[in-house]
Amino acid sequence: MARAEEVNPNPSGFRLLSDSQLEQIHLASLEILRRTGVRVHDAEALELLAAAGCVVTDGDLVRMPPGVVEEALDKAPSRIVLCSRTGEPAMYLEAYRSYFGTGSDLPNTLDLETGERRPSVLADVEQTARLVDSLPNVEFVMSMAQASDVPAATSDRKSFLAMLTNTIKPIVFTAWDEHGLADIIAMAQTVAGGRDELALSPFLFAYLEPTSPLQHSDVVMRKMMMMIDHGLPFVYAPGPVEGASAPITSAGSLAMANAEILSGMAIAQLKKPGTPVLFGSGSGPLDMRTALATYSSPEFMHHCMAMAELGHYRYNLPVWGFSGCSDSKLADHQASIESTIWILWTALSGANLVHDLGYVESGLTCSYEMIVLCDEIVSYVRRLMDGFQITPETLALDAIDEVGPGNDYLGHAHTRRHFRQVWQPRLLDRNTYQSWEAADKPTAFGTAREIAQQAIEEHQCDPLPGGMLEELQAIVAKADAKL
Amino acid sequence: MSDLLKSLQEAILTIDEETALKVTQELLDSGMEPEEILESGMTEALLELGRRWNCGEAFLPEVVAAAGIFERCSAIVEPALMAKADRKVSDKAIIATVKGDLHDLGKNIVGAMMKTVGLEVHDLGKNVPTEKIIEAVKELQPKLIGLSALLTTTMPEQENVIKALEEAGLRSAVKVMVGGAPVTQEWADRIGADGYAPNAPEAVRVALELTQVAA
Ligand code: B12
Repeated sequence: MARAEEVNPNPSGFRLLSDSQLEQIHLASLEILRRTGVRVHDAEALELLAAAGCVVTDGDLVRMPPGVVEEALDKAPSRIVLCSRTGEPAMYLEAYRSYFGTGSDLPNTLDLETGERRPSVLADVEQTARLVDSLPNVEFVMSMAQASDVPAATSDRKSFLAMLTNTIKPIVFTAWDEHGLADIIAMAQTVAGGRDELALSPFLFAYLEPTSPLQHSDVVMRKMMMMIDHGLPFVYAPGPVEGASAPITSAGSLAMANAEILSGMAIAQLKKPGTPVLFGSGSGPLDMRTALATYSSPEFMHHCMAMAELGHYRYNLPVWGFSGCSDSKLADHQASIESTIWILWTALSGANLVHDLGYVESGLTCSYEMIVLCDEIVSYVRRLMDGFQITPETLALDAIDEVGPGNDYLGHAHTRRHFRQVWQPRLLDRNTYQSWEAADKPTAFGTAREIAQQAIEEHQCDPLPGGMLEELQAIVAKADAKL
Repeated sequence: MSDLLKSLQEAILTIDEETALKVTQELLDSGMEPEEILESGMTEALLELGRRWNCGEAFLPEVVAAAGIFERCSAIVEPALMAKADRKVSDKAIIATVKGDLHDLGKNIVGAMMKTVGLEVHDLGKNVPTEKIIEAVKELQPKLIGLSALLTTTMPEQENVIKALEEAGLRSAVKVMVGGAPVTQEWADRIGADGYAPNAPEAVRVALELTQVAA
């Protein structure tokens, strides 16, 4: 297998774990699958696993020989390309290329006008999608909001349609079950012009999750099988909560989560070799004082970094990531601190498809302002990660000699040639006190809010081809009629 | 209080299972009434731990472990309790994560915490169909049902359980408490639940309130 660093080296050189530590995790995961096993609540998956040589007892407890797992891993592709709705390549999920996007399904939203926390509505899905469509550094969308103003049973289709009509950027989606998923795939095939076109140039990507500890639920298995049948990519990312549904120690939770992913990977590759599956997981400790799952902690970040390194160095698989999310209740200092650390850390990890920008209150509330602030942080961090070049031109020995000791570089041609390469903030303030005061003392939060409001009012997303919207709406209406 | 009773409390508070089990047996052998061991020894210790947790002095893993020890000490005094005609039985509670929902952490924690106030908790698991809950109510005759739902799509199941209780003529016999991250007091009111709590300590407070009213 070609190793990732031969394609695109780790630009910062940062490593959390050594190759031999990654191997320890891998071996521990194989041992979990051999000794403890996983529960698989799906007849087809059980059949595939048994036929491959796994031991099935107690109805649905599957214990796996290491060879079955490692053979499956070899079959998974090392890259996934996601396209825009219009079929242009948008994201190369490979090597250390990181792409950032929002998250999904938040029951609450901080209202953009009043700042108050209120139940999320379908308009929030539309508006966050339009906002992302306008932002330069956020490359994909998720629903952000879990719409409370439409019937819950078909809200997944409506969210998907709301995203389709408000952005051309790739869509990472969740579906309640295989019925919702079938409708979403039908909509996407309509847009892409057929099943094969969509499979070759997918603009959608499913977020699927095993149930920790060590369970593959019936619903998620049915969804996975359907994605595989249609040749479409997905992530199968566990969300174990350390100390509750996983060991409290980072190493133990990592080994267990990895076992969940690898067993899911085996099912996927047994079903159809070559199935595109993104690798990764998100896990942090339960706060033992409040009994709540946290979204920003050094331990959560360790987990994601280790997962990225397993993907890059052990498995040669593209990687799923978390970023820009916070336990704060508001788009405030805490949210900015947590989001900044997250984004910098994730960029260092080289995770490829990085979600959850704009999440506050531990995955329960959507903040428009944080999406905009995260866009700025991503821009800043990308510039950091790019580093700088050292060439005769950038070493500037001629300019240094021409200017000589004591003079300045302001008027020199070398400065004119290069000053535009200096990173410029869109939102962070660099004004003098006086001009800042004259502009009504803007804050980063206030500017972020204005950018969001303006995008929602003015930004135009490329429309769907004529007549297509009606076709898509008909699919949703049919689902509604069955309610 | 006897020194032995004190050391039982101490053993539970410090999660020393071996000593707790040993001392429980010793107390019983010494002729102490099983009620007194249960109430003044074991339950007091758990209540104290709950108080400590509420003010941030104890942590969840300690509380859950202590609840486990409580259960195993109970098993020792139980035969003696059963043998008595005028025994006072502890209130029963059922908890479940509703149908279609696989999120069970919150339910597990709430269940473990409810044990700390002496409720006998029966956990029906996750993704539990309404019929199964109704069956359990008929069989166990609990004072309280706790229903957990973490998804917008599964919250209506909480309402379905309440309706099914009405249809089965069981509604007035049992208090219904709902919870889960997206669940709110307004939702609880709307579906006619008797109680709601946003987190485990509150859940325990509400559970006590509801079972005492029902008493
Ligand atoms: C871990 C997790 C999972 C795990 C669950 C594993 C497990 N064994 O439980 C997995 C990965 C399986 C999962 C799956 C999904 N999840 Co999920 N998940 C979470 C997450 C991150 C944490 C939940 C948790 O365990 N918290 C810790 C516990 C201790 O807290 P708690 O459950 O809230 O419980 C406390 C209180 O609510 C209260 N309480 C709870 N129950 C009760 C009951 C009573 C009676 C009372 C009084 C109180 C009470 O007390 C508890 C302790 O203080 C939340 C985000 C969040 N912050 O809540 C999303 C979240 C709940 N999930 C969500 C979604 C959308 C899904 C999926 C649909 C995603 C998908 N890709 O398909 C699937 C659905 C699967 C299914 N059918 O159930 C959404 C729900 C949105 C909505 N309202 O509809 C959330 C909010 C995240 C998000 N924004 O996307 N998830």
